[in-house]
Amino acid sequence: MSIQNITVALIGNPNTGKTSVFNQLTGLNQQVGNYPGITVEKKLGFSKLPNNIKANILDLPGTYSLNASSIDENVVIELLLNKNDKLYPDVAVVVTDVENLKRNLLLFTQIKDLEIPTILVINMTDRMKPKGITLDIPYLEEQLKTKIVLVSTRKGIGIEELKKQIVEYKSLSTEPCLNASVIDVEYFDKLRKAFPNQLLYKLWLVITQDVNFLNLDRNEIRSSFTKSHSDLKRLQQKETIKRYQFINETLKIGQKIDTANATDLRSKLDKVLTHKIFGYAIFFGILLLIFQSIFDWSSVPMEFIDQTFADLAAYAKNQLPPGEFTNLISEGIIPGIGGIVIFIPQIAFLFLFISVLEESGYMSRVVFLMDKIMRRYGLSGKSVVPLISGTACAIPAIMSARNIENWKERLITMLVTPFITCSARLPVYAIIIALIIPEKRLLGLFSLQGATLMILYLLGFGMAIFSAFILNKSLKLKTKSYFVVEMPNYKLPLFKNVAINVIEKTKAFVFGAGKIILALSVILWFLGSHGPKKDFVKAESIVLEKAKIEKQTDANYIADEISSYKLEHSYIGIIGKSIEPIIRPLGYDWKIGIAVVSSFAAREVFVGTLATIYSVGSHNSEETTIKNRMEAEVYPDGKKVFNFATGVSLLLFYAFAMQCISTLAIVKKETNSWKWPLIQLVFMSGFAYITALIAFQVLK
Amino acid sequence: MKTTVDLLPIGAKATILNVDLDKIPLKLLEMGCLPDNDLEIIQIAPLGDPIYLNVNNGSHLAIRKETAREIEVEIHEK
Amino acid sequence: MNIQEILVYVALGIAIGFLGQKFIGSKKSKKGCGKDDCSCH
Repeated sequence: MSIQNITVALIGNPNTGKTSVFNQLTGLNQQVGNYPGITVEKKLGFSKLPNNIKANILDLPGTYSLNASSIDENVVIELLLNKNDKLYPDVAVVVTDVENLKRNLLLFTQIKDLEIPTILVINMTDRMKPKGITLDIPYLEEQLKTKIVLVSTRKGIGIEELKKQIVEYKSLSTEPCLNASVIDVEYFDKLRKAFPNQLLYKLWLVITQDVNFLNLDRNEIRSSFTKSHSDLKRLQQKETIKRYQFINETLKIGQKIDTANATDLRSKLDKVLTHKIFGYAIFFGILLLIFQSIFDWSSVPMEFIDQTFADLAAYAKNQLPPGEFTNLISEGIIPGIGGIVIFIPQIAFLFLFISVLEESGYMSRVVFLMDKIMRRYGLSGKSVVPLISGTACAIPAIMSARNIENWKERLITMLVTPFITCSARLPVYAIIIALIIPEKRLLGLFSLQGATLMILYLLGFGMAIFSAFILNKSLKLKTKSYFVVEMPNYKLPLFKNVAINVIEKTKAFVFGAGKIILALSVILWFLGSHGPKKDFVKAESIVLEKAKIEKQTDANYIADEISSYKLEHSYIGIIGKSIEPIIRPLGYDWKIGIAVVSSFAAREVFVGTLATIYSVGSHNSEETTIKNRMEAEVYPDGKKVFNFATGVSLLLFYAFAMQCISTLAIVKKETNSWKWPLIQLVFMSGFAYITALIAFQVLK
Repeated sequence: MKTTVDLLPIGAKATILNVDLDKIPLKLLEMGCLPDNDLEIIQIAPLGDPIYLNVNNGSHLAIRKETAREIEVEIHEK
Repeated sequence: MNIQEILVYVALGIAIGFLGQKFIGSKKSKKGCGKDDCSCH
């Protein structure tokens, strides 16, 4: 029997556990990418089904209905309307939450109108008993004209049954479960007569939505069937009411809820978590825990990784035949890779926390608690999500601002999010803090270093709020506003979901940013170990000459002198010296300058760059960690390069500067203009320069 | 008694009579804020806004006061 | 030039090529920041 390929689309409201079903079906067999041209995440997975059928499973963005209000939702409609799309599903699986069937079924009835074979998954069925819910499945299947699969991803129940059902997709009914055209019979009759070969509901969606639809000339439809905007809106409302009537009637018979049996953990938790004092205290406590753990718990694996790579570099140098390429490996590539791997523990921790906060349903409570406060600064409660996920990476954070309905609030959120300390700044902070802040504990509990890190995070957050306030006052934008946020039920995060999320995100960091860091370290090594012929080749004789005059005989001293003379006259030394006048007032030498400049490709490059420059600059191959090398760096007069004033100046510069090309690119994309990213670049970097300047001049 | 959602206290239950269709976004209707559906005030945020509702027995959402003002309801007597 | 030096120039070429394509090439093709969004800080 030959292998057959089918495409399955998972569709559902947000918070129905759609992604859990996806993870259960595909395991780690998934690819995350983007839809062409837009930055909506596209998740495609693969699953082996019975009867030798292989399924491509598409996890579509969560949507409340087929009336799109964001580009994420547009993706769903565009796919479902375009039969020629490579990913047009053979079968749609609509995932619903048993506790929220009424609302979840709205989308289901719309999908049914598209006449795609549809399976209804009722998820979280482990909640039925505690909530006193019973379902009449045969009745519901008959009314909804579908097959129902009861699933509990938490207990791992129903997935095999779902697979079996998918295989038999050809036997599914494609009949709509209600006739929505009764809302305006005359209008829909006319429409049907004009386009007899098209689905009525499809036509209706084309008329009301802003989607690309290849098969039909939408202008033709629009011109002959145009209605005023408010008439269309009224019809859409009538349609929604009609659908709810059908759903409410169906569930009146098909679903019984015995509230006497219901235990209500949700309202108890809500009372505490949204309490006017405890609510904020708990939120603050959680933030504190996150920052402590990032700094404290990840220090052990980080030191281990640092040491391992130092050992590895020394080993490579000793074992490989001596030569240029061996130098590249031991001084360029190994420290370069080390500079990436070392951040895995911190980044994994960060994504772990963010993922748990999202999965558990707590994030919505924070949105609820913070909305009024944030509004004062021109933000929305929903800005909390971008601001918190900005601690991981500004790019997905700026994209997550999409669900803010008000354009002004959304714009301000996108403009200030890059102030939030992202995971790329973390390595820079971590190493500088370790150099300038003593390893002490406050009250025997909080580490002083951890507290400093927290202050830096607060500084970034404070700056974000402050600039939002300024922007709110100065931007003259009139927008109609509304705000709706779903408050999902509390859930214990599923280990599998969290683990897959953490692994995927960490992998993206290592292989994405990692490649840039590695490429840059190869180039930096080359620039640091080669130079214009004249001075560079003669380095040895010049230094020896000088040593003779000064009557220096210490071999170590002479070797050191040769290395640093070489570095100074290498290409990188020449570039560094030429930018030194600009950065000197901030307390940086030319080596730090090079690191700061290369940070514009990716901030975390800073540490790797310094590691590469210093390892080229030191003559001995004996094992040394990045931190030790930085600590040992001194000016000719014996003063430490990484002293307190320089350290603080660097921390402040990295806290405020807009140093990320990719973030600028995403802001351009989301705002559709170069104006906003350029404003960000100039203002943030200018502000960073000034604060770093003041800090160094005051502290030195 | 007729009133609007922004004036209800925590714990109040009511039936939606009318929503101002020009001021309420479609998305809110799709989440269940339709005439004849029931709603309950679960919580009001510490600063009096937003309001956390359970609409149509299961759809939990939070809306701002300015939106709540446009939803007319009939309070259930206790 | 010995084999080690040749390898160094090959590695350098790959590195420059990669960065060039990442930061200059991608802007022309309007591809956003690549496949995995969080890859590029």
